[in-house]
Amino acid sequence: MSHRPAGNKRPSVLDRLSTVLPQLVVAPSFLLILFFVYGFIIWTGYISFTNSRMLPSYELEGFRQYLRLFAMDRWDVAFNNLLIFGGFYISLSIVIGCLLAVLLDQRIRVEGTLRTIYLYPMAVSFIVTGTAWKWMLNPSLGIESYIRGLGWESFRFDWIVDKDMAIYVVVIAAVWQASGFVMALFLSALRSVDQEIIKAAYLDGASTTRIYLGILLPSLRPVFLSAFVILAHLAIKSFDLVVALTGGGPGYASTLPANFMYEMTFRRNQIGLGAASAVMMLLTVAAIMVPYLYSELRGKRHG
Amino acid sequence: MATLSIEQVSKAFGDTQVLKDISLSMEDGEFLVLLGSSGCGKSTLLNMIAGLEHVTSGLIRIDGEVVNDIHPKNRDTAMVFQSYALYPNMTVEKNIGFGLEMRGVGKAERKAAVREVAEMLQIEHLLDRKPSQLSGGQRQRVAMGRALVRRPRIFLFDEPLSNLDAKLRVEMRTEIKKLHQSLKATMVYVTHDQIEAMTLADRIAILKDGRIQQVGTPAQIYNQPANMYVAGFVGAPAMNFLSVEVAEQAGDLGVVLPVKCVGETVKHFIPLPNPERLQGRIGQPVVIGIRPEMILHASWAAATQPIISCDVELLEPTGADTLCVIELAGQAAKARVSPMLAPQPGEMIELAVDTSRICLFDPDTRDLIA
Repeated sequence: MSHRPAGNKRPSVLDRLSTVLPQLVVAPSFLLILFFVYGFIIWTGYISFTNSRMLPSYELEGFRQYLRLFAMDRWDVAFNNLLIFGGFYISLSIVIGCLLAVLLDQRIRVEGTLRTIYLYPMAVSFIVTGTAWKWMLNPSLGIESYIRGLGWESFRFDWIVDKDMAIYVVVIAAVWQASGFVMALFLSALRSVDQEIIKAAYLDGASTTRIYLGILLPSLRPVFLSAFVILAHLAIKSFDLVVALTGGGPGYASTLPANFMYEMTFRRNQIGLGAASAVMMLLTVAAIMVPYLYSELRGKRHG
Repeated sequence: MATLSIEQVSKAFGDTQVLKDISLSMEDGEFLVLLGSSGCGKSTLLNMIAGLEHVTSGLIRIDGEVVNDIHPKNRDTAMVFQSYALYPNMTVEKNIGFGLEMRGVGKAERKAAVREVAEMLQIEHLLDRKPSQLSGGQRQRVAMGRALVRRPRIFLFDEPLSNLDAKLRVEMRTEIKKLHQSLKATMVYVTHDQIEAMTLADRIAILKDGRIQQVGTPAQIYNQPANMYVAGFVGAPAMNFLSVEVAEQAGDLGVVLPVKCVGETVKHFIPLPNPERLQGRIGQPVVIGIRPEMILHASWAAATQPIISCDVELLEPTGADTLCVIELAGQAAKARVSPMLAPQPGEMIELAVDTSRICLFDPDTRDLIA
């Protein structure tokens, strides 16, 4: 810098500040995350190996909490529910979202409005979704009583009070909430496909169905993967929807692992057991995320 | 193999008239280039031939049959796109064979057809790759293979070389020309590159604002451009347009050309052939079109060609020729001379005007005065 006075070679305070500013700004949140997220993950892991009950205790007793956990029917139900819920929630949301996206992709007139309508459920909290669906599915208030009122006296739709079907009610509400979001994901991806590819396929004699199934959707593989990962982690940490919709009932027929964890840790003075179930949930998430992150990062490196 | 005729075709998107009253007809095995700058409607016309756009009014016939309402897949045309439009999830082999598969051609037959086309385009070694693993030139070949394999009645090319680098573009141009000569297929080729048009076409149709300006062989387009737009669009460097006045001198009809020489403007009388076209215009303004190669160094000129002396303002060497920027009729004009005869900027040069090929345009209608 020629206009600076000679001899003044030390950078000014401001200059030094501007080089360390990014680190300074990021540091607090980094430290907070390090402590409150990763620190407590480790703490929870430790607690799960102790005999903690109402208050945390630090006396290790090995895998006893895990053995207790796996012996509990309640945990079995919760975990099976997770498999049912996760499976249906993810697959139905993707299928319905994908279908909506394909239908909206046909250059229809009120597309903007419809897109907003479909996307709106995502803006509603799970508690609201759960409450609204609880009213609708309540046999004496909702759909069942309405249809009976229309004259179909034998109509039955009481899944919400049926212990075998209650978890499917949770699936319905969750799919309602998520499919619009999945639709938005797919629609934007469909729109970014080169229009000339569609023209080419058209000239090659492919039907619209064939163009979507054979060419467009297969080329959206990364979007399927993203949708899967987003929905999978939403499914595993699902908690509030069950609380609002079924309260985990009837009995504990529709609990999910997150509800189980809350119940044990905060209501039944079984902190050790709750921690063990939390660790199991973390491992489930990790089982999905680690391969995904691995393939993502590897793909980046190979360009 | 087919004939194509387009009869008074128009196209409108809402209130915007994109194509106006287009009529064209193509013989079997002809190579027609639709040439125009972007937005002139040339790609829309191509899409209409393919069936990707509806025809607002008029008729399109392939082999005499009206195809306006025939589904694209039954028109038996194939198109090569600018972006290549390869199916990203399929291998090269599947890409090329997809059209045949959709038409119910058996697996063994398909494989043989794909192999034959791949050999013709020298891409046999790429058949198992995905499009993302190919270079631009290779993708271009696959896109051509996809069109070739179906042996369609008409080939349509939508700026197929625009995404290639300059060297590859010239190579592929030659290859398309060879392909046309060996297949003798009817081809319609859209481009904005006038050199592509000149080198490839049997006939060129020049479009501007949705109207055909001229249809003709490359030589016709180059030598007798129908109007100033065509004259200025075709040829590089572009034709010089000079506003001059018609005059008569010693019984000859011609124009008066002011030339800047040693800082002064000297008026030269340039007699023109076919004086009947100037009849009745004496004293009136007219635009003459002179291509740079029609202004040549005096030492190369024929005896009958008028000689003008002028100042050279700027030189643009292109290797084979050097372009001299001179001032004619108050405007900068370019003359093409051999680099060996090129002067230094600021020097004077003696140039001859090849009057036999000068074009005359009406300054109001901008059309050729024939």
